[in-house]
Amino acid sequence: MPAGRLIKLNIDDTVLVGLRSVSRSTELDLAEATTAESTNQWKEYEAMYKGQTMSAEGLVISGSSNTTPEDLYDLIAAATKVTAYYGGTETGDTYYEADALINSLEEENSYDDLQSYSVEIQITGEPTKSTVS
Amino acid sequence: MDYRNALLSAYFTQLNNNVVIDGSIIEVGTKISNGAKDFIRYFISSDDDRGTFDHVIREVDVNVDCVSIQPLTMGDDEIVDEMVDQVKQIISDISINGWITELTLEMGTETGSGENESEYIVRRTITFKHFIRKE
Repeated sequence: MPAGRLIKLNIDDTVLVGLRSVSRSTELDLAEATTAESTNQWKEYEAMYKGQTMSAEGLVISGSSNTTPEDLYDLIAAATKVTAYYGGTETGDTYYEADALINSLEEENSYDDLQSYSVEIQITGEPTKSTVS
Repeated sequence: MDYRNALLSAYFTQLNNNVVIDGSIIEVGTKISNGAKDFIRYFISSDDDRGTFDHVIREVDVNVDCVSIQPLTMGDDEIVDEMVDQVKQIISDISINGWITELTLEMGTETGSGENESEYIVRRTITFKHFIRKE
């Protein structure tokens, strides 16, 4: 059973700081094609458009050179298109890369807790699948 | 030495060297000898994992009991109040070998007092929250 921490989420080749969780959601829009002629009244569907989002949660680690919430804020403010990397980093691991826009950033700063953040990333276009060599 | 031992050792070093009541060092430790009258006892009250994919981070709460046991005819709270003031100052500067202290918070003081047939017992419990990260 592989551990969740083996999956990294990088923005432009730099991993997000202090990751505590990484997730990816992929969907396929469906168009219903059911008619009165559908066999034995089974509903029918046709595949339409595909889409994908990624998200992550983490802690701010002082002194880290990884991508910080401040960096993510700058990318949103400039509406910068980035390259998102999702997957393992060891030789033989599968990973996916795609153009993306960062569309949500939440930062939590409580007096009695560590600084934390969550980010959502919208993939734009088709991801490419590769293997770490 | 793991982080719990490191943290408790740091408490001992800081408190044992720096708390002075009426010109004297008082007994400090996780265990206190029978018959001690003024002492400070500390223990880990909670220890939670706050780690990330790449870092070991622990959220550790430490309770510090400041206790003074006095004859009924002399009972007052001043000694314990002085202990509390000194402990708060000392623990805010605590550091742990091999670990980075991300944040140390004093989370409040719980007060209590009582008496038995011959003694007046005053206790204040201060809770400190430490976020510590492996170097």
